[in-house]
Amino acid sequence: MAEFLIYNKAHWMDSLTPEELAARTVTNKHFQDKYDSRYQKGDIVEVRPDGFWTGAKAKGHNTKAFRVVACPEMKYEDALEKAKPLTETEGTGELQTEKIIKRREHKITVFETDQIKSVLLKDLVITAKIKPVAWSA
Amino acid sequence: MAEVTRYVDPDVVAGDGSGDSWVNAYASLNAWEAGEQTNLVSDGNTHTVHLRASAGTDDTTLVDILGWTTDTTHLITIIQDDFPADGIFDETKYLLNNNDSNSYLIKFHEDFIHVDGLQGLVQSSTVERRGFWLATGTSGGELIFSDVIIKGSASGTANTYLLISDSGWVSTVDIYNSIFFGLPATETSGQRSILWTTGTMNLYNSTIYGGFYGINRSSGTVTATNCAIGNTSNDFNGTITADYNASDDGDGTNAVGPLGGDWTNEFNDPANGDFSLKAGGNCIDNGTNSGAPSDDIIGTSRPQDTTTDIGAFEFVAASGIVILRRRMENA
Repeated sequence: MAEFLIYNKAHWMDSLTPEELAARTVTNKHFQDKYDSRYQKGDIVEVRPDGFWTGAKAKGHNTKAFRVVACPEMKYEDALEKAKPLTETEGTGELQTEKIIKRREHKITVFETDQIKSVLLKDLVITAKIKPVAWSA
Repeated sequence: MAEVTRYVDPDVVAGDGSGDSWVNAYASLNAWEAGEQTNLVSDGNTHTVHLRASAGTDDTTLVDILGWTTDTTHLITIIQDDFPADGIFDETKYLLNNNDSNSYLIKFHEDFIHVDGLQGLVQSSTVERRGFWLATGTSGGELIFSDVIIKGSASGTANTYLLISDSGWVSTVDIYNSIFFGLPATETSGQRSILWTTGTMNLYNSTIYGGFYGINRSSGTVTATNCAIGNTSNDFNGTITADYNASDDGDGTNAVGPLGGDWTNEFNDPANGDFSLKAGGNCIDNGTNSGAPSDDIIGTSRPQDTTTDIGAFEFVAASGIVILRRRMENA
């Protein structure tokens, strides 16, 4: 009983050339991380219970930015887990930092012709992004 | 330069969700953030988002502000239009609520953001929770928080921070007329209203009430001026430049304590989040005008007499004339 708000537009950083990206990284050492973590098409921005974007009192969902995929068979609590960022923590205790590797850990294959699509659980394709692993000799 | 204006209302029904009006408002701050990310500098724009809850529904989404480009003139402003007119935490108004399920309310990865009125509720029990989290990603710019109320509600002993800078944050935040309250004073040393680990925080005319530590600074630079900090096990912990504050320990220079050692002599109803000043208290007229904001959390001009009061509220005598800022002009 869950509905997914799916990111469905090109991010403004997508159009940066390698030279522009390199130049920005000079002025902001974190820019490469921001670039790498940016929203991508298919990212699960938000999860809501059944009917939030499709019911009698449905809310709008900015069709220029998002699409909605409804999966009545999926438990809301299970779906919530799919709308979290992919993070990496460094340090411990008070000094711990948390870096966002990807804005969302999971993405859904969207249906290009439908702003709102209801799917069966067996047809829902949720893909987990793989956390980069540091290379060591 | 153009100003882009967007709207968020968790109670919006129908509309197109584009955020360009209250009718078409986004249903959450998180959806606004995802839908509007842009390079404000190359766009030549500023961006303002207005918040309200027209039927009192909480915004329970987790928000990261990450993926923008801002600078000193191309900034993001977040305004709660239905901010409580009396400055008292009100769950019937827009409220960012972590529901003890999200790890934090807002994590700020970008500079040049002004939060001008916002209520937050940080609930915790067994897992660490945070309110405003100043995080890795900034590059030495500035944030401004004014008229922010963050309440903590801890039903267990998990670490809980209403405001925290993590060790990757390198910028400056100036905080005015804000209230951080609700954490127990004695539960655990991991429950702190403010935990500061890096960067610079300048805190003016704010009220902190509760938490094992009121302000716990382990690194970075913290100044507190005209602030009222009480109902803690230790109001200031660590090296902090404190001037003209009211606290139990009387830390810093030009300090005062609560009248009779009792904060109920200073605030009208601190147990219920009313930190407006009570007549005759030591917070009245004992601050400094230097660096003080020109009004208080509800728009009362400062100072009412010749000297600014301590805390988020400026005391108004019964016969005083109050000039209130208009918050509802966009409602």
